[in-house]
Amino acid sequence: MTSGWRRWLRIFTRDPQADVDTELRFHMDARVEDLVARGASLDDARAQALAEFGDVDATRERLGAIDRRIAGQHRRAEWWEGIAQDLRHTMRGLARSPGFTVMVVVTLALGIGANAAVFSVLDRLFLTYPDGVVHPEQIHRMEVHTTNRRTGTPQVRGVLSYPEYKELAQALPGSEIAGWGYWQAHLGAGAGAPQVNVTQVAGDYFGVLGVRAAHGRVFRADEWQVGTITPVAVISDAMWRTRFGADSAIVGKSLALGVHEYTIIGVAPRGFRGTDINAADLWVPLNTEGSWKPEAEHGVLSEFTAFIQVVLRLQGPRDAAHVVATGTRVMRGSRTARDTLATVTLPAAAGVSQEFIGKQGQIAKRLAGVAAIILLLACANVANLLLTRGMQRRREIAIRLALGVSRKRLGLQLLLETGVVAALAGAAALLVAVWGAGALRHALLPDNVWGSPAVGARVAAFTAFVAALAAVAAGLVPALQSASPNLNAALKAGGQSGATPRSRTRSALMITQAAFAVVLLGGAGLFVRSLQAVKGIDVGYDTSRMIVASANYDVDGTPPDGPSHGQRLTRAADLLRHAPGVQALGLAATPTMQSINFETLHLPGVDSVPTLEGAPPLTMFVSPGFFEASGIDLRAGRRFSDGDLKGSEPVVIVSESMARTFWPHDAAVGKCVIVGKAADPCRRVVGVVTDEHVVNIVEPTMMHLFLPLAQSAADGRPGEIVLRAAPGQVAGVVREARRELVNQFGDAAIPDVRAMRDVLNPQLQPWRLGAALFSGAGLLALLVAAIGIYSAMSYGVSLRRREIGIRMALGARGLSVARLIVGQGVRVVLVGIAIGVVAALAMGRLVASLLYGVTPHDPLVLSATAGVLIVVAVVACLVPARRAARVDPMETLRAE
Amino acid sequence: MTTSELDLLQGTLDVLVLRALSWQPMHGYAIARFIREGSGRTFQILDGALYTSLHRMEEKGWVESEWGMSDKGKRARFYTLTSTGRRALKVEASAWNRYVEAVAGVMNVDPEPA
Repeated sequence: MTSGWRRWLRIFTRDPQADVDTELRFHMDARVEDLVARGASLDDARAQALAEFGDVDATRERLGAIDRRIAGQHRRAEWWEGIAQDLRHTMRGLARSPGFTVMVVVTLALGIGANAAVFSVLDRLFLTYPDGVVHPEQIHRMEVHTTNRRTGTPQVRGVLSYPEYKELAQALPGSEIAGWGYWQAHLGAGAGAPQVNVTQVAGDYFGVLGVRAAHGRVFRADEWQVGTITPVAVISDAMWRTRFGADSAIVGKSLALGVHEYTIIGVAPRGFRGTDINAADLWVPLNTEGSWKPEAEHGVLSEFTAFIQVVLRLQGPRDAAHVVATGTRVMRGSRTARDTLATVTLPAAAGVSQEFIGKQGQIAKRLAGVAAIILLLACANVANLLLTRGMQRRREIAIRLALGVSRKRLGLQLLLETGVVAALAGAAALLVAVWGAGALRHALLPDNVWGSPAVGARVAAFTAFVAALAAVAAGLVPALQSASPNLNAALKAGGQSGATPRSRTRSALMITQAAFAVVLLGGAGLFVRSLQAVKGIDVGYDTSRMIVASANYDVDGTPPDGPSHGQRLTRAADLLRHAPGVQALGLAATPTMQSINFETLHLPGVDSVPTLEGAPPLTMFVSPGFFEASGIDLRAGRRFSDGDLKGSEPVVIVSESMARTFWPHDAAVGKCVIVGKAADPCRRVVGVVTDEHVVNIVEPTMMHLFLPLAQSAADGRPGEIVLRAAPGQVAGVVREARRELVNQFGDAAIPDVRAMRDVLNPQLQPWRLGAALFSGAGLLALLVAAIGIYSAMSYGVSLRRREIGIRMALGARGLSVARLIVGQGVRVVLVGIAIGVVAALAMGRLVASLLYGVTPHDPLVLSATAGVLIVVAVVACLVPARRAARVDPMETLRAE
Repeated sequence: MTTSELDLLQGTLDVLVLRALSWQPMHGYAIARFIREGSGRTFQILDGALYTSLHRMEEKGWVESEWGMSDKGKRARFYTLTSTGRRALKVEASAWNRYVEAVAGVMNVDPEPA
């Protein structure tokens, strides 16, 4: 020890006050001695010395106080010195065994990183207030709680119709409420126009949020009044930089959304990306095109379309109570809510409304639990490694204890080792989190623009916190055990201990790992089975070679001149019918599986038409060829033909479920259905086809009624072309259809041509996501558990070499020794599996809502999981068992 | 001695003590003797103030103390200048010299004729 603290230690181990007294006594004695030597009497000398000193008592106290402070300083310096010394010692120790260090750091980094990644996403989804908003904690959303009258299940919606919003906004101060809607628009028109996220605002949106423009200004009251037609836009800082090169003269320039021109009036401040989880690129007032007529009976601004979300600024509980009361009154009076028991809640505006991320949000929440379990597994593994290392270092530790290092200090040193490793792991975990959170964001919401980095200060702080937790969780037990070995036994045994005192702790770790592995692997099995079940659902359409093609206007305007939309689409269909690779082609008035349409129905001689679980049949207008193109099979009668025209006999085709529900006892073909007014003529049922799904892969069966497009009131105006491609020709037909639509529509519309598979793919995404994420987690858990079982067993064998040697010297055969080892390992794992199965059964209901076609207690999944784990345990025990079987008894016994 | 008098003296006393220790480690009594004799008995410094200065400077890290034997074979607390203390002495000494020069300059000015 080169520094001075040891010396200080020697001085200040005594009472500082006593030292002061010694020092002052020396001073007085020396002074008196001096004066006496110069001839003064002893009494005079004493008196003079005292007089020269001043107030002895006060000085004595003052010096004592100073010296006590100095002693404190030195104690603190000593403490830090000790820590620094331990840290150097730890670093040297870790550098000496790089294999151990890397293993522990990587294991913990994966565990901590997984948690950080999930936290990053959950934090953004559920906990983060919108950026750049003044007093964001005052900002709230509104959610309307109703009960589904058909099924009795509670429903939540976070969007209001325009009339609902208007009534609410009129009842509240303008500084408190604003509305916004999401609009995915295109910048400019034509096939290559880039998509942008637009927020349409009603009310003083920016004022309520307290957001001021960084350049220019935000909307004025005369601009956001719905009904005024003022095409002005505020753009985001990101858009200003990327699309306009941070042009300082941006205000007054124009920008096109579809075919509509907007004047840019301002740029939002950097960091403000709106109130949606999907970062907004620009804001425009609601209904700037004026194409939405408030008086249109079924228009966007009617009570039938709910799309407006509200932001509320509440100054206190009285505000909140008032808004809740007002909102509830408005909603109960609303025709669309149709629920006199509707209630309103005002959740904080942190994150996104559960309604909008649904299943993905639920999966993300479950993942937090999965990540926590993986971290626990990782900690158990690291604890195991530390225990093993502690055993190897027993002799070193015993020597240090014998040399007088306190057990407490030693324990702290061992904990410090874990701390250093955890700190390294935490740093590595940040890298894992950056990658993992990015991947998770993409997996959960692939099209979302997040507008903020995945790992920020909050995630970093969380990572540090989890790393500290992991250090304690993994390091505490090993530190306690290692710091208290039996001194004599360890020193005498010379590092080759005979007994296995730690076997209980190792067994507990093995049991824990096996149990957790069962839970995660079982969960993965449930999600995989769900995915299979969902994939196996027959939606009625043959989606494998079905292609849907339509052309959408950005805004619901019509092309300036020339043929109508329907005429262009029909011409494209006529040209495509004979294109290479096209086997069948049909037209539909509304997009397949993407729209819902009801018509009023009557049956002759019946007061009310039958319903299936409360729902009437859905209506679709389709052309001849539609059924062939979409792969809907005919069960009875005939399909539509070119002869089913406006003037000819009115006909319909019904789905099987409709045929069963309407005419349970008779054949449906030949029956009469009246579509429209009761006095309208009978439509004869000419065919029965298989059931189809309406919009979702997973949904209850609904009845379908098909009418010939040519006999529709809208004069057969088609909205979509449905094609069937020859095998292997899907991509070619998609290309051909897109080309033809561009030919027909030019820049006036954006062609939307997709294989039906791709249309439905997003619906499979949550199921795939659950299966993929939980399978990944399950395999990771299995791997970690296998490593844990292997290392615990092989360490156990290395400790028992002597015992095994004796057994073999006494005549035991290698095979029976191996069987003994494997048997013991598997017995411990079986206990873990049993606990895991019980835990999986108990935790099953947590994931039940995310499953389809499989119960959380699925015996197949649980037994398969248990089987896999037993196999893995046997394999993990085999290697150590082989080593045990090869023990040379002579060598082991001689080594003693 | 009151606290304010002590504070007033503190800076000056610190420089004197540091100066004394700049030659060799000393115990408190030796420092007192050095200052008393070095000043030709001009300063009437109370020994209590001197010890207070020593201990305060130890707290500041300007001096270190160590127990040793005096000439007469008694246990005494010896003070040594640290490198921080040596730097402090340089700063304080130059400040003190400037102060002395300034005072001397004022004292030596002849009054301008009115």
